[in-house]
Amino acid sequence: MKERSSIAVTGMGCICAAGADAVECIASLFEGKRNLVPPSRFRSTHPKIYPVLEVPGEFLPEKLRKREDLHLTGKFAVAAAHEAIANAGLSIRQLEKKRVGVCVGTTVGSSMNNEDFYRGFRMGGDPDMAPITRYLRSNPASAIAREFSLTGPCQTVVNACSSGTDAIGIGLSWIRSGICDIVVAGGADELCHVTYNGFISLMVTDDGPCKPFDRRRKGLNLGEGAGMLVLESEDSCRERMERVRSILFGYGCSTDAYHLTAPHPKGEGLRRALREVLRSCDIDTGEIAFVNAHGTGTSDNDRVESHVLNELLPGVPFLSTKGITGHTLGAAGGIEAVFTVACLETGRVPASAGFSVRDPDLPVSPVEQTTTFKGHTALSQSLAFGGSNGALLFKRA
Amino acid sequence: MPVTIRGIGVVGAFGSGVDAFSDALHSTERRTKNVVVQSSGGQEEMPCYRAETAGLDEFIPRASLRRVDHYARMGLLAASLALKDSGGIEINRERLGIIIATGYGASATTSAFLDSFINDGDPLSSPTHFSNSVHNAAAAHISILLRVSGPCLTVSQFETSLTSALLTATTWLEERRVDLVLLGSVDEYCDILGYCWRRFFGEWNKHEVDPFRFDRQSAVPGEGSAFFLLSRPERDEGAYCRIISIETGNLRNQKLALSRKGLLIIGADGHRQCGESYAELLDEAVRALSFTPVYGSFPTNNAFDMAAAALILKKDGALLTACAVPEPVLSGSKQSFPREDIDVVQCLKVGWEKAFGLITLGRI
Repeated sequence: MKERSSIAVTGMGCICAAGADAVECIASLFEGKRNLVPPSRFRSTHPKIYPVLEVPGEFLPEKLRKREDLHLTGKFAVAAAHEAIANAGLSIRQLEKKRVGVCVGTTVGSSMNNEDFYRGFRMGGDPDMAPITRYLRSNPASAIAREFSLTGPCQTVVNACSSGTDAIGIGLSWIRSGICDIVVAGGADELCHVTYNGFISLMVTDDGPCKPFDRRRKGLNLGEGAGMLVLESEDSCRERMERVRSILFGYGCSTDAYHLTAPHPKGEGLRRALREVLRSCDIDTGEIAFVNAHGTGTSDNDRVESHVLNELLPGVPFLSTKGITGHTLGAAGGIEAVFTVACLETGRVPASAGFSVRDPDLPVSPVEQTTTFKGHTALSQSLAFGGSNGALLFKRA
Repeated sequence: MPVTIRGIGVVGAFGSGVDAFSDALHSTERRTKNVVVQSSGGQEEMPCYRAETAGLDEFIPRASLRRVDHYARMGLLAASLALKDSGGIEINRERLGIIIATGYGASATTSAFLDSFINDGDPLSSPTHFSNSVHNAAAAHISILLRVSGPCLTVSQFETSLTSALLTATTWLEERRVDLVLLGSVDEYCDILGYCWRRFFGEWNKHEVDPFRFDRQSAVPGEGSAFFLLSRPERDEGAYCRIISIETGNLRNQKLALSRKGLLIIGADGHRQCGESYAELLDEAVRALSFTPVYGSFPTNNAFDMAAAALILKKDGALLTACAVPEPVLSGSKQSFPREDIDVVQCLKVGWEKAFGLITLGRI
């Protein structure tokens, strides 16, 4: 694959159960804080409670919290974008002068699945149309573009759980191809009864804290939130003389073409995505300091990732951050990209939350304690329903 | 970088395949079917452009389709037809990407999943409905059943979904991430969409879409899928046309440069809310036409506009009698479109809140 200029990450924003902004989220990550709670926004008739990692209402800025025009996914997306744009030192006036695109991954944020409305429809009544109007106004990429009056391309990626990673990779392509100077890219998603029931029905949800890569793992914990990066071209950075937090060096993606919900047992698609990103960046595997794995805590996902990482990146430390955030679906790639950049900045990775007992069936296991590294490059990877695999390669600035 | 359209596959109320589509473009027959729409006053039968996927077993064994819903079947059939239409072009399926644009995703299966736990309780939620309700289910089925293992992407941006998806397809080809892209659109009609339609728009046109009556709500809902096999321009032999440029943004703060030399296919599909934007853009110098009476109103119907543009540019055939043209004479009558001097066709779609997508196609 043809590769061209490196793209700077000049700003980051994050909101999830671990914190109201990127600084808080990263602090929680290193402290190993796991804020698991029973779901509070819907009632379930499951005999067991499956804990989740919800974003407490007060994490959202008050103004945003009160807005009636956006659903929660839209609010998360806008909150993280505000933080990322401020962190990049970009004013509205500067944004007006640039070609700024928005590319955001989501799952729930693009689904017309409001349960109260649907129940009203089924009963033959005239349910309030507000949830549908809100859904139409809350497409995450459009919500961000509207918030900042951005006029560049706008794309909401709905590639299931790799959506956030893919959105960032597409943002990289848009800048490299000269379509944009700047792209706000990441992922946003909210917890809802639909996904809660869906993942439980697939029997991939843990009724306790999730344990990625651990022998006792039983499944994932659902989470929610948003993670956004401001990606910027070399020219734009030079002109603004703004601090560069990291370099987004490459993106690889591939499909298993195997099963709707299960990964390829040998990780064919993931292997191709990783090979592609390494080859396109001309990076030797020895240069990779760590991998932020997808690490959902499900039996299949963790087994496949462990085998592929052992084969392609033997000895490279890796971790899952989903023990802290939960699986935030379309937001996961965005949030994990923020964490990857933050770890590159500090030269350390935290312990992989939830892991303590090695699985003899897995050839490699994640880091068990905060680990210092010397390298300058790191990978963040995502796997998804539908067999999509995406990997981003970041380099220390 | 321009990209080339090598193959087209279409599935809609007009039937499936380029020939059926071309026939529909030359016909005044409208193939709507009645659907039952719920409202507070009871139920009512209304016209809708429904698509059928009967031809799918030519490409996929019936047994493999057991758990594949209508949304994904439309995509599968259109994608298969686009590959077939490309005329046996050599394809390395690891280097073939899939990009799907959808306005609302698998809406019917999303409803079916909600039904499963509303009817029977949370513990009996259907895993099959859940896994097929995700927006990328159609892309996943296409990749699995057509054994395509290159990158796979689904995007959802309402009326600008196709333009946005096309933008990413061109970057994939330009970067040489892939050699070919199967770019398509899929949207389906379902009961809940019909209900919302009724509530939002009140009236439901019982005749055909009247795209140039911008001040009137004349939309008739539709569904369908259109796929294009795209390549870099070095592989032009036997191709339909080239996509020369793609613009997307918002008309509130951007001005559009419409071609005065070619044709403009507008995606106006009878929604009054979007009509005024088209009215503001058109003037006497723009030769505008619309084909939405052939396939109906839905967010990604501009994929059919793009297919029509490709056919106009490739075939110097008979006059397209199905096209709607402005009245009284915004840009002339149908007879004022001499095909031999058409080198450029633009497809314009304006959506909610004035988001727009403009795709410019040129003769090879």
